[in-house]
Amino acid sequence: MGNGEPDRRFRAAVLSVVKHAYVPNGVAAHPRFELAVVADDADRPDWVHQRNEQYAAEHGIPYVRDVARALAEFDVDLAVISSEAERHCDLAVRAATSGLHVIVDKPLSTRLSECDRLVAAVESQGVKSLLWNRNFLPALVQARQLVNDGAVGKLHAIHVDFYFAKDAGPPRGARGPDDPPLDWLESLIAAHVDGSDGGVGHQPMGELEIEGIYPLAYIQMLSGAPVEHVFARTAAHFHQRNVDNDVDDLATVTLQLQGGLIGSLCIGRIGASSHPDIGEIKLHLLGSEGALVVSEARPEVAVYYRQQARQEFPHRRVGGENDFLLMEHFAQAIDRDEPTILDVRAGRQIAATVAAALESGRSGRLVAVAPPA
Amino acid sequence: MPLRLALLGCSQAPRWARRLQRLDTVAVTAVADDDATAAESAADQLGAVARADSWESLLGDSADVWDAVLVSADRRDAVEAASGALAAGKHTLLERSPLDAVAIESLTDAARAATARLMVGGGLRYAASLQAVHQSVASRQIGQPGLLRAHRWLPTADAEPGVSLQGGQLLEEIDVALWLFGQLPTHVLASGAATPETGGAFVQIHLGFPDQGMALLDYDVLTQGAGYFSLSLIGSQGAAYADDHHNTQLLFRGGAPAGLTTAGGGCGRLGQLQEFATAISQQRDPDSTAQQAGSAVNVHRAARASLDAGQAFQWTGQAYESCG
Repeated sequence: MGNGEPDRRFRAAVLSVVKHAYVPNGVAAHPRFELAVVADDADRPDWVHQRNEQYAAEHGIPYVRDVARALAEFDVDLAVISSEAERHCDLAVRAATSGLHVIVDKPLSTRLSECDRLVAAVESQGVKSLLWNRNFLPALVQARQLVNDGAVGKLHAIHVDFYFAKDAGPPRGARGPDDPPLDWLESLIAAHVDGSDGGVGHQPMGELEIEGIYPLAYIQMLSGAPVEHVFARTAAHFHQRNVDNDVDDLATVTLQLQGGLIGSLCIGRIGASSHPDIGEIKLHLLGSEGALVVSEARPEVAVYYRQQARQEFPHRRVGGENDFLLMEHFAQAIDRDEPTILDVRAGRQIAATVAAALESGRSGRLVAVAPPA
Repeated sequence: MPLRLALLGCSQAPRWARRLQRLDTVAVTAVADDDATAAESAADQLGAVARADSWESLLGDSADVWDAVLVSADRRDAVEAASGALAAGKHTLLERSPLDAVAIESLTDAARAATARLMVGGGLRYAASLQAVHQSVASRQIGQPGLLRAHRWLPTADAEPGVSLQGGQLLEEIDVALWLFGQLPTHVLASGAATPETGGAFVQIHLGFPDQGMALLDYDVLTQGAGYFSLSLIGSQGAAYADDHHNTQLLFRGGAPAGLTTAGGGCGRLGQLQEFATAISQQRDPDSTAQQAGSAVNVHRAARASLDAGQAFQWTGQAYESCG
């Protein structure tokens, strides 16, 4: 569904913005997109309305407690969904069936049936979809170019390490014998102040489920091959919140991809003391003609000074245009009626891979990735 | 007085000559190789007084000039030679572990009977970088180990013959994993892909440990250029990164710069020999025990079985069995 108007400015409805607002901010930063309204369902709890209202006020746009009315009355072209994870698909389905393009924060969903429902809605309506990702970071753009140019020949293995060196509440073992377990939603709401609330929602989610989309999207982009089987080990190794809610904060996944390609993923929220910066994020690619080792953080600039705060990363990423390039790409996909770099069908495959990995982590077996419905 | 060492298998003699310059507790006094020219050359390089063209001859005519033997990784008759040396009461170091846990157990019994010291493989542990990583675990700086990742990519010239895991690929990395976690894995999965351009195969081993630890180890042969090794260990309170990528210099000679890895601090083989000599002088078992070598071999065997079966294997308390 191309619009044939390459200079057209697109108006976006923000459907809930309850955690760190990088997705709607990324959309708004591109000159071809403007935020027109924030909307959510009236029956949401107070904390949700408060955050939505605050974001709308910061951007000088209305907040409407009626999604259907906002979509009908604000002449919008797309919806940006950044709600609690379990509501992503439902809000996106409602937007897509209203004929809007959709941009969805990660994870796509905690349930594959919801992903399938969204894929059906998007494809039947012919609208564009984008699952927010990091595929346009400079190191990834370069890696993709090298692979596409045949620099390493035909790929036979791809590995990604994806560690966030951040804390997430009290460390494992911090809870006293008489203390109650940490409530997932309550602790995530509280974590909003330091930005460690990526898994905000009612259903507890591990790091694989919350952040797995990023490295798995790298593998998908660079290999072009779907994952067929996975084997995983998972652990709650660092954070009491994860222990109490029986979700991982550390995981390893073997990926057996179509065509005999082998992949692997190491992922974790490994704590602030485990790395001087945001965390080691690396890719190792092996091909018939060579190999490639990529540090996702590059380019970066190192800044050190006396009395530097511990939480300040001395190595600062620079030249990052991921958000702009994502939105530029999305606008062009609309203009030219082209596929996006990570649409909801691809996102559904990633969700299926994560679901299979979690099952493997429980069973200790190799698990087949569920095909689309 | 330095340990009087016999070197059995001389293909790596030039490397040993360089390494031994830094080790004054060991003197090579005898060498043996089926290739008499290689033995002659090695004797000259290492200053050995005795040379032999077989291990039988080394144990016979030259036995009184040496007290311990280093059985080089290139010896296909390593177990037989080690058995003979131990029967003669000689301390024995197998540079590389055989892929046979029963043989290792038999050698252990022989060593015990002869009151001789036996060390089997484990060389990678003694690389300077891995000693630092292990120290971070032993001192509890990084807390409980949670995730070990290692990439071992060899240049074609250094690749072991044979495809997949049959040549012992990743055995040393498995040994390091068991050493760092201090326990045996409960789950083993190996995955592989043929790489016709090198005549070998890429292989990856995934281990799960009882206390929720996990490891991913992969091996490949690069079609061209130098090799690469990277190891990271994520602990509950910190992490350690031993990564060639961090130790790479740039060479500009036109076009894109080439990356050159800076090595330093001695190699694992030197540390392995040093530990062997120290254990003998202190009349104790080496840190890297034959029993540990046998454990690594058992896990490696499970990985080979997993690769063949295409299934994960799980420890039942008696053996690793397919989860399929």
